Amino acid sequence: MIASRSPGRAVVVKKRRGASALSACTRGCEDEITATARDLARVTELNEKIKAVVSISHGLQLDAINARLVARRAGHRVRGYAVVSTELRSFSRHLGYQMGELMGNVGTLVGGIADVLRIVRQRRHLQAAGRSKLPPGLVDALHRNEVALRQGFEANTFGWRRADQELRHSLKLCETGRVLARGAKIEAVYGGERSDELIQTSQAIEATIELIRDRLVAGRTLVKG
Amino acid sequence: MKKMTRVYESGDHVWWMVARDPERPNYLIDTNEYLVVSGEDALLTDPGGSEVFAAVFSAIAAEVDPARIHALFASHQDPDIISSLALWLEFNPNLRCYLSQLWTTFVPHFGGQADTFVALPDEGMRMKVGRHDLVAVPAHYLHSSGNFHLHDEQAGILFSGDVGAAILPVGEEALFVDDFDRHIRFAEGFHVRWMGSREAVLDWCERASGLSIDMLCPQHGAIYRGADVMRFINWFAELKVGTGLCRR
Repeated sequence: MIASRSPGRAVVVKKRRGASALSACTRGCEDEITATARDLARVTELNEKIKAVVSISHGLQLDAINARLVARRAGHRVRGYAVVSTELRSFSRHLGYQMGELMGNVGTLVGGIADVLRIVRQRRHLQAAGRSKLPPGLVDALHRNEVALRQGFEANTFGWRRADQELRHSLKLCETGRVLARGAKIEAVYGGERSDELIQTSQAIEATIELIRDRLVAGRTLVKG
Repeated sequence: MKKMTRVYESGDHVWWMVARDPERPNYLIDTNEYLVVSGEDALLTDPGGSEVFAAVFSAIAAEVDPARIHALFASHQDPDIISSLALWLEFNPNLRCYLSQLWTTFVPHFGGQADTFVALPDEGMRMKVGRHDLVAVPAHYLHSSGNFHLHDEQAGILFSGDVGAAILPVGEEALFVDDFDRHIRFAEGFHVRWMGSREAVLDWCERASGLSIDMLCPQHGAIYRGADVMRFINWFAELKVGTGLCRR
């Protein structure tokens, strides 16, 4: 834009500047804005899956304690099983901690997306106000709104990435758990008269880990949108 | 962050209180939201202002799937009660909002369309949440002209909107009234100025005395339990209200 010495022309120049600034605002965020209500539903569904996994992983910790107790009752014949069940206990605690972290981060993401929804709604009202005429104050308001939106989108993008990383980490942990559970089943065969009990306990743990893994895989699908 | 606290539970019938956000800016009046759950169904009372939507939503999501909420109940039209309506409808466009018939053309300025609202007639109405019945009880002119409370007979709970409200000082976090005489000092200023009609007060007190109420749950402040419920009703019945009128 070329600056003008004529006041009339200056008003036209200023209006054009405002209009193109608004176009930039509008262009900048549209895809993300459209996705926000969908994102809230998506993150809420993810939150429910994570809550379910947290609940299941508490049960897993009890199963792992049970495996230790069964191994102790079975005595020296099942030293191998005892070693594996100790590792299972450690794995279940680690998983429980990881799930707690994930739940906290997803909870923060829920609040972040809900807040962006509020800012998006304000934006729609501001845009509607500017349809026939665009006073400078409105352009400024839209700019401020866009800054708030961008900050919200950045924080939420980081939140989604973090959730994905934590889900991937949890899935890797589950792989460890699977290996341990299979190891426990193998060791259980050498448990003599306690063998059936040991196998049953190991199978329960394996089934629980599979359940957790399925939920986490579903969670990652949600994160990827 | 607001916190969700179970205040009543009987099997799958639960009342949750959403309250006490230490990060709330002090220019915003503090509010309590209540989530009534029955089985897989839920209703949210006075869901709150748009500025606290994120805090309320995430507090609920931490304990209960927000998708289970099928309806909102708005005791009246104030912005701290229902200005978040449009945001709730973005999340679930199928939500219904119970509201006094007086306000069904006013509250759409916050959001919603004609079919969003279930207009409550002045005499009130029964509604279902899951297997349980709730009753919208008239409380007009306390303070709004079209105003309802929500009675859960099975739980013995009356959600009483602004009646019973107290503006608690900073640091007062208790969800329940423990010392009535001390607490009521925080309620008095609110009631003498906001409640405009002695006739409406006495009508409400007579009505409330006939209900089975173990907990009186207001939209601001703390919950009255047990003997404090009747203590509050008696106190309210004696109160001189309508102090905003300037006499020449």
